[in-house]
Amino acid sequence: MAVATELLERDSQLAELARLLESARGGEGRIALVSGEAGIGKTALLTRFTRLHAREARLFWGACDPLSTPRPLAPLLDIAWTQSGQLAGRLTAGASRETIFQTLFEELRSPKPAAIVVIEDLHWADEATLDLVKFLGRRAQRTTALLVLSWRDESIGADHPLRTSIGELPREVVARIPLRGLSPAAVESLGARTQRNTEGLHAATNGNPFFVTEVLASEAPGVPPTVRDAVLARAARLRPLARELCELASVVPSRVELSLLEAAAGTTFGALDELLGSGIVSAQDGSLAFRHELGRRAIEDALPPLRSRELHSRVLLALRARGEEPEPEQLARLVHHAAGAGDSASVLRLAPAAAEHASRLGAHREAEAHLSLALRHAAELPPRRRAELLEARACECYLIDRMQDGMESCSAARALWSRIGDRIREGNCLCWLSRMAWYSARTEDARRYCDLAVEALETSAPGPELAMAWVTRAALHCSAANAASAIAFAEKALELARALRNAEIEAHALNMLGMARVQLADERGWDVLEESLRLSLEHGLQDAAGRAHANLGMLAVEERRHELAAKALDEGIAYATGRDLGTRRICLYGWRARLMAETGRWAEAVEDAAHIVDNPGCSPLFRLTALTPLGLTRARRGDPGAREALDEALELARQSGELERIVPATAAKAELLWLSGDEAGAAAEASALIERARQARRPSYVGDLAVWIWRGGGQPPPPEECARPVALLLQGDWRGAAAEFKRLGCPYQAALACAESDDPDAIRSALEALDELEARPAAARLRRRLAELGVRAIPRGRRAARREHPFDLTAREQEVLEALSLGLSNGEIATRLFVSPKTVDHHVSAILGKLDVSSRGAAVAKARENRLLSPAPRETSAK
Amino acid sequence: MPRYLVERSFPDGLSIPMDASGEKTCLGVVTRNSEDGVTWVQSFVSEDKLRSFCIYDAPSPEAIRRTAARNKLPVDRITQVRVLDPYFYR
Repeated sequence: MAVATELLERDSQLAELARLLESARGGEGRIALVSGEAGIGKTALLTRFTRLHAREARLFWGACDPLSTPRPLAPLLDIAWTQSGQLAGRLTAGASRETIFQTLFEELRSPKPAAIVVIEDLHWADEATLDLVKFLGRRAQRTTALLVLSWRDESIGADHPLRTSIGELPREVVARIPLRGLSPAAVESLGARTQRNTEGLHAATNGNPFFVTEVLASEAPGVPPTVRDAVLARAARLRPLARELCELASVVPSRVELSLLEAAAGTTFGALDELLGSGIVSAQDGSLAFRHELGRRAIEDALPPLRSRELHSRVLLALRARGEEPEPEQLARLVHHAAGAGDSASVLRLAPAAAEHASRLGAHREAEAHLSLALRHAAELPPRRRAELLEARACECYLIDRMQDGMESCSAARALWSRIGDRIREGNCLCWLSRMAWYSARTEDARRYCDLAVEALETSAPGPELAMAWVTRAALHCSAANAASAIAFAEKALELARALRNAEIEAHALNMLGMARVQLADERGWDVLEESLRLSLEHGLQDAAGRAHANLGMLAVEERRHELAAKALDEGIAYATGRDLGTRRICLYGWRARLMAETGRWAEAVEDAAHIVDNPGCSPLFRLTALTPLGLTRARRGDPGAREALDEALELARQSGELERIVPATAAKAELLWLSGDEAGAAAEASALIERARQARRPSYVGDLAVWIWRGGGQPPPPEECARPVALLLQGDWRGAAAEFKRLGCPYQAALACAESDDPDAIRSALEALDELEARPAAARLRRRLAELGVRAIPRGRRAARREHPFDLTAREQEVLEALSLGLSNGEIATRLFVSPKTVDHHVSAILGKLDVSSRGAAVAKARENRLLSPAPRETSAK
Repeated sequence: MPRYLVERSFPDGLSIPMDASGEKTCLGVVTRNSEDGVTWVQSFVSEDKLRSFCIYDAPSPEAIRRTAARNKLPVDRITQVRVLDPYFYR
């Protein structure tokens, strides 16, 4: 007889959930994060909660798979099963992921009764499910749903992908509900009901409810040391047939259909009743499930290896007897048992199909896992088939930013194609190797692979592979600041792509052509870049579109076209996020971090950089792109860790050997040295690189270095080789330089330019600007400078505590509100704040919401009424 | 995890009452910190209550600034520090 599983000490959590549901009902969707160790009672809490509100809310319940490689979108499949609506239809009809997500969202948006959406056990989630969480999370506020997410704390390490997904949920709608163990009193009251001695029970179990009930049910003397021992002690009392059934059920994760169990066991007569009576498992809707996954694992882990293989074989056989062709969503399950049975032939038949299914749904991590499994069983396969599997795995590795593993697979595939004598496939592999080596900051290897690829492909008839190899070579020339050669190869690739009528390669080739032209200061380059982007978007070419956004954004940041950069990067991030192009998105965050650092938006800069730096699995190239703005921002705010970040960035940049990486890292390091008072060091750092930058003839690179040579007291290059604001500064026109920096949206650099003046008033206004920016080290330098000039009244700086905004507007929203009061349109505000009009739109609706008004005019009126606006807008007083 | 000294100024004076509402304020800060993996170890407040010196364990200086903004607390300066115990040598 099972111990009554009564819910103890969970009233406050139930009340909190009810409160969240209430707000969802009012049209403000909410997200509850329920976390705690295994056995702490997450499911029990949610079951009780959903039962309490069963009448007033629609319920959607799905759980993630504990399969070795989970089924893509497993929770969504659960939900679809229990819903008669469109969702199931769309899923079985093989609709695109976007359509399926959208269908669920529409369902949650309808003003029908509020919905409770439970997604359990996210620590096991497949990649596509995490994308679903992000998708719903971003839109949660616009639904009438309470989204409840649960996971085991101990199962998510620092680099678990769930952390990133949770971190990206909008904070304002999220509530955390951590579950802790029961109190000693509660444990005692449970024990009292079984008339058991509970001495030492709370200490041994830490109040874990599952552990406590297992101990109480085991009827063994004393307290078993672990929850596993408690479960095994309870199972040990089963008679042989029931025990066999229990073991068979234990190899099937989550739950097993009774029909399947019967088919696999032969007979279950009598044994099933005994097993159910033991309370170890329970039956529901024709399925049998362990009372807790911990119980299942305890039994499964205790099986001797041969016994486990045999049981997996029996389940696999029973599953296969169900029909000729397995349903795609059952593939992962079949693979799990085929692998458990050690049945290579079945693994090789099932795993590649499972990988394809997972990849199509965007679960690339799972696709990679299936392919790796297949490869472990592939020793006997013919070389051609093995090479194909290796290539497929390399491609998945590339998509999930695991370049090292991708390169290993790709090298092995290349060797096989070479042995087979297929030069085209070999060249194609070499081209991929080149690309992945480049992302790993191994530029020399990237060049070598690319040369080999071109060599292999030029011996065969010209095809798309050759055109792509030329694009790759052009890209490498671009990064090496060798624009003239880049143009030659980009044009060859473009011609071939057009002859082949291949829009994808055409878009890539245009991208390289545009990039090389901009590098040569040819204005037409920008149009070509835009054309590449347009072409990619028009044809839905995700990889090319990602590249087009990234390169346009990167060049625009370098050339200080901040408005264009903001547009390209914002749109690129939105594009890549909507389609879950992880690699691309990460790269865009790095460039936007730099844009934010350039334009004095420290908080946004470090926020963007954190997407990359906090992700330890990121490839070196992306890490480097983020480390530079992170280190620079720390240096400018006077925060610790600047030197560490910049030294690591410099090391990675030098390893890549590419000027476009080394210049920003070096300029940042020089600035850090200058801010800390080491002027000679700053000049030396920048001087060491200046000749290379001059040879590349990029005024932006030369200028970024020249300014630190000049400030550090060294010999700068001629001003005409530098980008305009720096050139003015070097010519002694600090006023012109400051105005130019201001026009470009760089308040920090503008203030530093003003500081070059000998006029105390100019320095004082620069100091004010730096205080406003909370740029402490630069402000401290200016204070010393004023003291040297004999100025007595030095402003003490903004020491004011950041006061709470009366309407809770963020700093950014306040800025937008100020702009609204000037009668600016969204487009104009976007230009002024260097964000996309869409972002402005977003801020405006947030402002209207917080001020509780329905129009822009009313917002401004209310702002005036409550004195929310600055008395004299900065813009007008500056002129 | 690195340890940091965070200096803050409160022009209007810092006042946290020694009662239930004070406890609630402090626990609210602790909870919001934990979302970023930040631990508030302890603080020293100047006699005039205009400045505070706070010891934090945090993954990065950015995490400290982020939680400070959420807690509506000012930040003047963040310094990474290590413990020096004068009695260690005895």
